Amino acid sequence: MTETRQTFAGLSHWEIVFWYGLIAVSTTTFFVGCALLILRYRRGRSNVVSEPLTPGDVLRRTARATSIVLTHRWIKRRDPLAGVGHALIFYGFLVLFAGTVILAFQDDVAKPIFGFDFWRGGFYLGYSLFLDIFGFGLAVGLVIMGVKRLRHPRRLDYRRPDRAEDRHRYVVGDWVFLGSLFFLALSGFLLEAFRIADTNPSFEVWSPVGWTVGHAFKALGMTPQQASSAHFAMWWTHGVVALTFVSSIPFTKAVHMLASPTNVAVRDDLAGKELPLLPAAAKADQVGYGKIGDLSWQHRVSLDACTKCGKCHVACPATASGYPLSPRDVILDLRELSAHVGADAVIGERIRPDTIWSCTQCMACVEICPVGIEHVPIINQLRRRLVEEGELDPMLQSALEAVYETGNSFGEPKRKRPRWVRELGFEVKDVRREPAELLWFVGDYASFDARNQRATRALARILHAAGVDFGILFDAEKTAGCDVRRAGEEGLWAALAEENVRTISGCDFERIFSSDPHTFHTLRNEYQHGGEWTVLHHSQLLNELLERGELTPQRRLGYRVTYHDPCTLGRYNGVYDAPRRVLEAIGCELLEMPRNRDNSFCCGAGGGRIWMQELKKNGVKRPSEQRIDEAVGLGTLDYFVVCCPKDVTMYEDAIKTSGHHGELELRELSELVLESLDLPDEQPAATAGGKEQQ
Amino acid sequence: MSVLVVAEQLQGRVRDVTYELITAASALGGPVAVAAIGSDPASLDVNRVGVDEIVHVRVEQAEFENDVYQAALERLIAERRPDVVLLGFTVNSMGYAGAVAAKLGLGFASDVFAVSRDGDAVVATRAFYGSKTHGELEFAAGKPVLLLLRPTAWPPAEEAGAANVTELALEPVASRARHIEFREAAKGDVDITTADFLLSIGRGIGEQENIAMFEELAAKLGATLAVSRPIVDAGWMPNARQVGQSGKTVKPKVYLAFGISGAVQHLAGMKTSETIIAVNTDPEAAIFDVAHYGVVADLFDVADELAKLVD
Amino acid sequence: MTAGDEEAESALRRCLAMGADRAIRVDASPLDPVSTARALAGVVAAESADLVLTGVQSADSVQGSTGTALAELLELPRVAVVTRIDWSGTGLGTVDRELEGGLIDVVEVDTPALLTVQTGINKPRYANLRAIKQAEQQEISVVAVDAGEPAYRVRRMITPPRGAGAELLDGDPSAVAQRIVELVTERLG
Repeated sequence: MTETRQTFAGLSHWEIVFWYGLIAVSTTTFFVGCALLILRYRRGRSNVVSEPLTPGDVLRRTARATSIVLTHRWIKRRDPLAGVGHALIFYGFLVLFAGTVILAFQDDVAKPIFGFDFWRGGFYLGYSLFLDIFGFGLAVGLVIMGVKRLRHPRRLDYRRPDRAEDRHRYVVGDWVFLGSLFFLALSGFLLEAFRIADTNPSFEVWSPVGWTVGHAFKALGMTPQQASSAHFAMWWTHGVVALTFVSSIPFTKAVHMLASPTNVAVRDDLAGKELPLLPAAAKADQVGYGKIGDLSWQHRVSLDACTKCGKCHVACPATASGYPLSPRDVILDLRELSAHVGADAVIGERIRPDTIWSCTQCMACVEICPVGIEHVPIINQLRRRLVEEGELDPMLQSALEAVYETGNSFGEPKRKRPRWVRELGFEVKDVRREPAELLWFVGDYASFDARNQRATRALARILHAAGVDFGILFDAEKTAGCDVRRAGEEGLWAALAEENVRTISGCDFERIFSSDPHTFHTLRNEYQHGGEWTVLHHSQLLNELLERGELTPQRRLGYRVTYHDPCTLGRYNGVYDAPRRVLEAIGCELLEMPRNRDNSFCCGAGGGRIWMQELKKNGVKRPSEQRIDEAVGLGTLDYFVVCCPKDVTMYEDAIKTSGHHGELELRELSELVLESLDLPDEQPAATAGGKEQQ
Repeated sequence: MSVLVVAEQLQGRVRDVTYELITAASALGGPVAVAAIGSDPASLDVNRVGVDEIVHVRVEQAEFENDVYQAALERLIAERRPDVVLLGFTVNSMGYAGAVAAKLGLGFASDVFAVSRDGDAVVATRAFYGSKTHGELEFAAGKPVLLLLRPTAWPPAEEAGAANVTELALEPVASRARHIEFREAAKGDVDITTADFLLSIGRGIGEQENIAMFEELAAKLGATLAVSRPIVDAGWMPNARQVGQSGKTVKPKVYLAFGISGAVQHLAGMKTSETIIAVNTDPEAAIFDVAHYGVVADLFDVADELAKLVD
Repeated sequence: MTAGDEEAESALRRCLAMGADRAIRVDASPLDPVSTARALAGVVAAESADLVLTGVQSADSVQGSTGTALAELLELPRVAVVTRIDWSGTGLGTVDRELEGGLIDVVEVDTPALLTVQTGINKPRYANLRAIKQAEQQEISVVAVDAGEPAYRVRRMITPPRGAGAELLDGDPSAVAQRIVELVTERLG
C-alpha cells in the first residue's frame, strides 16, 4: 500500500469548490490588508542615517535579518525560556505552513500540470513525522507562553504610568491570539486522530501524535463512522479557523509575523547613537514629529512590529521611578494613532509633553527590544517638535538659554572653565597655541562642578606623572552638546558642533580624549569631521597606558568595588572592558552589578534630564537611588566606581538620599588610579603654577 | 493757571494719591478744582485746604472703568477748559489718560515728580533711562496739559478745606471694558507690612534654588522674607511678599536688601523704612540712593558670613 | 510691530524666532507716548486685528501710556495692566487687571480690543536656534511715517544730584556681616 492519503477525502465536488472559494476570500483579504499597511508605510519619509540603500545593502540586511530571526538571537536575550517558547511556536508555525504550501503545490500545480506526484512513500512518511513533531512543539511553545502569562509578570502588566486607561482589549487580544493558534494545533491533531481512527493505515504510525490520540479514541469505543463524522466536522472547523486566522493577520497582533522581521531588516543600526541632521533650510513644521505623517516609513513599520512584550517597559529607568513614561506606551500610542486616525493624527493629543521629557535617552529600550524598535530616536524627534513649539520643561529652557549665552549649561562665564587647573601645581598645555599628542576635551561638569573637579585634577595628575603630552582648550571649549542634541535642540547642537570643530581643527594634535562619555560619544560619532579624528574615553586611555607600561601602579589597592557602566560609554559605544581592565590592573576586586554592561541601569541624568524638573512619583525612589540600593545588595563594598561626571554628581547625591550614607563611598576611576600610583603630595601652587590662558 | 485734579477712588474710598495731587495743584497758584467721579460722589471726601471747587460727576458705575473716566474727563475739559489736568501715575490712569491725550491732542507726560510754573506755562520733570537722567519738559501753548504725577512725590493735603460743590451731568456711558468683580491676590501666610525687620531679595539672587538659603537666613535673623517684583514674576514667591508699587508699601525698622537694584517702583514701596541696608555687587545701583548703609560685595559671600554669625 | 530705528530690528527678529509670522518696523523715533501711538496707528489699523497686544511700559521711559493712546486712535476697547487673560471658547473671556497692592480687577472687554500686558504674565517661550537663524534671513517690512506734534518737548536733561547716599561698609564679607548684625541689633532696639 502506498504511503499517502487523499486530500479532500470525503468532500463532494462542490464542497471542494467552496473550500477554494474560501481560500480565495481569505488570501485576498490577507493581501489587501498587507497592501493597506504598505500604503500606510509609504507615506512616511525616509530617515536611515547610514548610507542610502544600495542593492548590496538590501542583500546584506536581508541576510542579517534572516540570521537574527532564525537564531532567535534577539528574542532570547534576558529571557531564555521565552526564547525557547517562541522558537517552538515560530518553527512549528513555519513548518506547518510550509507543509500546507507543499501540499497545495502538489495538489494544484505538480500533479495536475506536470503529472508529478511526490507526496507519497518515503517523502510522505518523513513529511508526516516532521509535521507532527513540529506541531507538537508548537503546542508546547504555546503552553509555555500561556503559563508565563498566567504568572502575571511585570513585563506584561499593561497599566500605564502616565494615566489610567482600560487595556482589557489588549489582554483579550493576546489570549485570543494564543488561543487561536493553540486551537489550530489542537484541532489539527484531533482531525489527524479522527482520520486515523477511521481509516487506520499502518504507516500512519509515522504521525505519532495522531496515531496515539486516534488509537485512544478507538480504545474508548469510537466507531469508524463516528470518527468519519468527527473528522468532517473538525476538518471544516480547523479549515475555517485557519483561513480566518490568515485573513486576520494584517489586522491583529499576528501582523508582527510580517512586520517584526521586516523591521529587523530595515532598522537603523545607528539608531539613537547617531541622530539624523535637520534637513537644510527646514521650516518649523518639518522639524521633528508632530503628526503621524511626519514619521519615517521605517518608524511606521516598527510600530506594527511591537508585540507588547514589555522588555522595554521593565528596562526603562523612568518607568521604574514612576515617571509618566513607558517606552512601550509611546510606541503603542503612536500605533493606535497610525492605525485608527492616520497621517493627520496630531501626536500631542495623545502623548503628553511630560511623558516625552521623562526620557533619559539611555537606550535600554532600544538595546533589549527583540524586534529592533527605535524608541530613543522616535522620542528625540518628538522632542524636536516640542522645542519648535516652545513646549519645554521650564528648567530645561533656562539651561538651553545658558548654553546659548555662555557656552556651558552652568551659565558661568567662560573664563571660569579652566579654573580647575589652578590647584595642580604644574602647567597644563594650551593646545590652541602648542601642539600636543592628546587633546583633552574636558566637558562642562568635569570643568565647573566642584566634586567633579577633584576627579579631573586626579586625571591630570596621572597623565602628568606618566609624562603624557596633553593639552586643553581652556576657555575656547564649549559644551560638546550631546545632551543638548538629545533634549531636541538640534539647531543649538549644530551651532556648538560647528564652533567646536573650528576650534579643534585649529589645533595640532594626534588624538582626542574626554573624561566625559557624553562628550566622547558626540565627538566620536556625531561631529561631521570626515572621520579624521580618533576619539577616546579616558578609561580607554588609562587602560592603554597601563597595558603599555607607561603607567605602573605602585601598589595593588585591594578594594572591593563595583562598577557602574555609563549609558553613553557602554550601550552607546560598546566600551565595557577598558574600565574593568583598569580596575584589575590597579588590584581592585570587582563585584559586578546585577544589571551590568549592556543591561546597566541609567543614573537618570542623561537626555538633558539633569537640567529638568523632578518627575518621579511620590514614594518611589529615583533611578540613581534604586541603583545604589542594587549596589548595597552586593554585600560589603568599599567603593562604587564610576567614570562619568554626571554619574559622580547623581550618585554622590543618591548615596545620601537613599539612606546608605556611610555604607559605601563613590570613587571616580581616575581617583582610584591616582591612589594606586602613590605619588608624592603636590602642593597646590600659591603663585602661578598652573596658569590660565585668558 | 487753572488746575483740574481727578480724584482716584477704590471701593468707595479716596486713594492717598489724590491728596498728593491736591498739594501739587495748589502749589501752582490758581484755582484748583477736584472732580469726584462715581455712583455716589458726595461720599468721596476730597475737601481739603487748597481745593476751591469740587465737581461731582454722577455715573452708574461704582468702580473705575476706563471708558467712563475718559468720557467724564473729556467733558470736564470741554466745559471748564483747565490749563493743567493732574492725575496720579496709577494703574487706573494708565487705562485712560493716554487715550484722552491722544484724542484731544493735549500736552502729556507721566511719572512726573516735579511741576513748576514758568510764566503762563507749566514745566514738568520726569526721569528717563531708568532714573539715570532727569528731563525738564515743556508743552505746546494753547492746549491743556495732562500730567500723571508720581505717587509719594508730594505730601498729602491733610487739613479740611472749604470748597464749594458743583454738579456735572454726564450722559450714561456704555463701557466697552466692564468691571465684573474684585479678587484678592493669593493670600500669603505673612503680612510683611507689620514686620519690624524685613530681609528682602531681588533678581540678584539668580536661581530659584537660592531662595532657600535666604529663607533660612531670614529665619535665623528673626526677619520676615520679602521680595521684589522679578521674584514674583518668575513665580518663585507669592505676590503677598512683594515690596513695591504693585505690591506692598512697608516701613519696617530695618530693611535689609540683597540683590535689589532699586527700581523706582520698588523704592516707592520701602524708601521710608527707618534703616535701610543694601547689599549689591553694582556700586551704581539706585538702591544706594535711598539706603542708609551700603555694601558693595557678592551677596552670597555676605549672606554666608551672616549665617555663620547667627548659627 | 515696533516704532524705532534699525536697532529695533533685533527685537523683532527675536519675535520671529519665537514664532511670529511677520514683522513690521515703523521707521520713527518718537519720544512721547502720544506720538508713538500716532506713528503706529496707521500700520496697526491696516492689520484689522482681533486683538492688539502691547506692553505696559518701556524700560527706558516708563511712560505707561502708549498702548492706551494707540487704542484710542484705533477706536478699540482697551484694558491696561493685564496680568491674566482667560480665553473663553470663542475668544476673550475676562481679563485680570492688577491694581496697586496686588488687588485684581476682573474685567469683561468687548472684542476686537487692545490689551496692555504686564510682565510676569507668563514665561516667554523658547526661541530655538534654528528659528533664530531662520529669522535672521527673514524680511522685515519697514514703513516710514510722520508722528506729528510731540506731546512734550524736552527743555533740558539734567544728571540728577546724588543724595548723600549710603554709608558704605568696608571690609571682607565677615567684617561686613559683623557690622550688619551690630546695626540690626541696635536699630531693632
